[in-house]
Amino acid sequence: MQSLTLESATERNAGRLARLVPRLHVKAFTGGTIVAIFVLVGILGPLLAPHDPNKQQLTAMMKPPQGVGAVHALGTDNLGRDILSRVIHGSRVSLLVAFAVVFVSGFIGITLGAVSGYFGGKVDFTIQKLVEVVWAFPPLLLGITIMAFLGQGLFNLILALVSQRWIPYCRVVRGQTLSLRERDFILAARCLGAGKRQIIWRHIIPNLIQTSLVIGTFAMASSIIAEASLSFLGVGVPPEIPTWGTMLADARIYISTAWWLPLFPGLCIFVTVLGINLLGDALRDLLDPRLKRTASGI
Amino acid sequence: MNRRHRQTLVVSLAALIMFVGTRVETNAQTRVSVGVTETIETHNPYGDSVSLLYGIWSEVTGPFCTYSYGKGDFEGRLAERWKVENPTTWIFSLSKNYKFNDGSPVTAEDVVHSIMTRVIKDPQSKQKASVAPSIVNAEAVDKFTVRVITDKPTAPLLSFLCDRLIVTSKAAFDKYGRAAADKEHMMGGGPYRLKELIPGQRLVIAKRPDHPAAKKNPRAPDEVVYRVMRETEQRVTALLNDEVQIAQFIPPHLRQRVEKSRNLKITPVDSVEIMFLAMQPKPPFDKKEVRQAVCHAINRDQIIATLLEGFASRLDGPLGPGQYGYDANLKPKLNYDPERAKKLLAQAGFPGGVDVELQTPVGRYTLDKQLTEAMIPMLNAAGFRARLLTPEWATLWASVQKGTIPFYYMGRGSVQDPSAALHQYFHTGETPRIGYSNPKLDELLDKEQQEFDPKKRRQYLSQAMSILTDDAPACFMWRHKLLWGLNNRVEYQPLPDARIYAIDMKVRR
Repeated sequence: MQSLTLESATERNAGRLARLVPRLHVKAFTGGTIVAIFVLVGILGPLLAPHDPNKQQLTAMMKPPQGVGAVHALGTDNLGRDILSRVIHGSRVSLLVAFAVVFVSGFIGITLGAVSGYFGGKVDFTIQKLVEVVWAFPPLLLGITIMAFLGQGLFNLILALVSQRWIPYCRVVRGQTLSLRERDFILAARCLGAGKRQIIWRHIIPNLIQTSLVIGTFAMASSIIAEASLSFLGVGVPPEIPTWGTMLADARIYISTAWWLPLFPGLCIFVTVLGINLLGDALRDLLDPRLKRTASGI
Repeated sequence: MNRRHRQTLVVSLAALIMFVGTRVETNAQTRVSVGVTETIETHNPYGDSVSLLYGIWSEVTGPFCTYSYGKGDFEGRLAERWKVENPTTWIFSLSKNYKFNDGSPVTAEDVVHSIMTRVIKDPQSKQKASVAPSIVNAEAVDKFTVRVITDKPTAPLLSFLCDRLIVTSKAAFDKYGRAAADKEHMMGGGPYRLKELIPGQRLVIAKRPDHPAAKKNPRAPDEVVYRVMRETEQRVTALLNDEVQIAQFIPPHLRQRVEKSRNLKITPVDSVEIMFLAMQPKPPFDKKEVRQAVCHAINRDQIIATLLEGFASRLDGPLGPGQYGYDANLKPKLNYDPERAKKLLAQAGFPGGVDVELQTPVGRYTLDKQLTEAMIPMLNAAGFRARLLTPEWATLWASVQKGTIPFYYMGRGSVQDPSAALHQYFHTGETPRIGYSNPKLDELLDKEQQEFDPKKRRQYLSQAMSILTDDAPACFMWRHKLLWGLNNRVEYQPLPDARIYAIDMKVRR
């Protein structure tokens, strides 16, 4: 009876997995393709853009989309700048900011989280108090405050976004480190004479990469939105750098008279964030230990 | 009940309903909401110096005197009459009809207190330069007569005082102290009283029906709400939804949206606000050639024709037609000439170009960010390496007032007579906004201010403006033709200086 129950449970899990795997593939494929396209567009931006994104033609301002093959396929904005070129260049900045924020905040968050969890005691207390203090600020308000002090600029914007985005890494990593440090392989490493730094870098952090990867994908999506929000509010990058956020900000006073101005940058933000979220979702499902157990039939 | 009784009852009921209905309609309060662009940041009426606030506070505390665009001259209000006793002494006779909210009369003591204690001596005052730059003393001759003494003859004194001097109660100040008097016990002698002020959001004033000015115009709204709406779409949408009945500064591209509505209209007004690019004489703008190069680099005509759709007039000097002292033959004219700009930059020692950062407010003036964005490639084409910065208005304005921004786009409102504006921005030591100093210009500006003969005064002004245009501490850009969106229920002729006087509105009930 017991073996029958186990068997039927395994069958159920296998069935669930069978249903899940194609869904995962669809999500991963769709998300990955979208992200890959935008990354490619970002890298090849100057080659793909038909015009200089900042070139103004006041005599050709507010031209509606003219279709594929036309001089201004997606139309022009209030200063006669080509929207397609600006959208392409905007992807570079948005993705550059997103990647930079993910890497820098990941580095800070993972390091602090691992140190906090491994050492415990006063170190843990201090780091966690810092986390609580920084976490208490509303993210957008903190970003605006930092930008108001430092001024507009790409580097400052990345700094403003990193200021809070390292916290999710730190908290999750700390929790996992607390569990990992008690595991046998860490004890073995310690017995073999490995130093604390070596244990953290060689044995703990590699075990946290999978989780951090999932956090990173969601952090990337939220960074793109945060960059657009700060640029929309006029405290992001300087106006001469085209980003999707600044394009939206510029478009807001023409929203009722020129629909194409907010549509294309808005669409880009939507699709990119959707793609990254799909990819992150698929990654999370794939790296979920419960699903791993199901897949191995345990 | 027979038929005759029923008829009597029906007629009586109908009469009663009509009577009650009429009473309700008669007693209905009228309220006008105005979507404005300028912020209202402080309860202290002397704590800021922006055009809109002078109008609003004047309405609460009673305009001292006012400039009538219809008559082309100053008119009495609280100060009924005035005379120049000698070139440095003015006598103002006050109306006895102006009373504070508590019923006490507005007296000479209150005027003296407002000028000396609140405008001149109070360190929190931001109005000394624009209201009382040359006043050294004010004293009460009797209960309703004030003597104002200036350190030098000041011919345009009225242009400093009218629509600008805010008269508050001395008794309230003495009794409650500055902060509480302003915040909780604002006593004014104007046709409206302050009902509510939420800094940065809205200001509400309520009519005082017993005020002489209110009696003259019984159709003036009972309550006026000034709502800060920086976004143009927000103002237009609020106007279309009847959330506001007056919207300031509709950008040209949105005017058709307003005009399509049967209940709304657009009223254009030639503004007396001069828009300019200010350049502090610090590197690289310490060189006259660099400043002139900026002026030659910008194609004002193209910007007016395209972005502003013709709703502005180009300025070749500080003033345009209709403003006192305007000289159509003013020379030199720094016209659009990018090649000349390049040569001037090379002469100044920057043949390979020079880095400059232009700062602009966003949403404070009509299409401010868009207009300055259009200037950047023009400056770059002339050899500059220009960047545009768009700080928050509060940050920008505070820095401008401290004199820490070298290159910025700004407007100066209420320039019917240019004396106050020219002194404020270009006279040595008046304000640090530009930090410009030119002894020859100072001499001419002092002379024009001391000259009571209009013909000679115009000559001095013309010479001063010629120096300004040539030395170019600022490039004068344009005056906007301001578009106001009005609900048809409100009859109101907006003023060229963008002050809003609710007492001049007429509301259809």
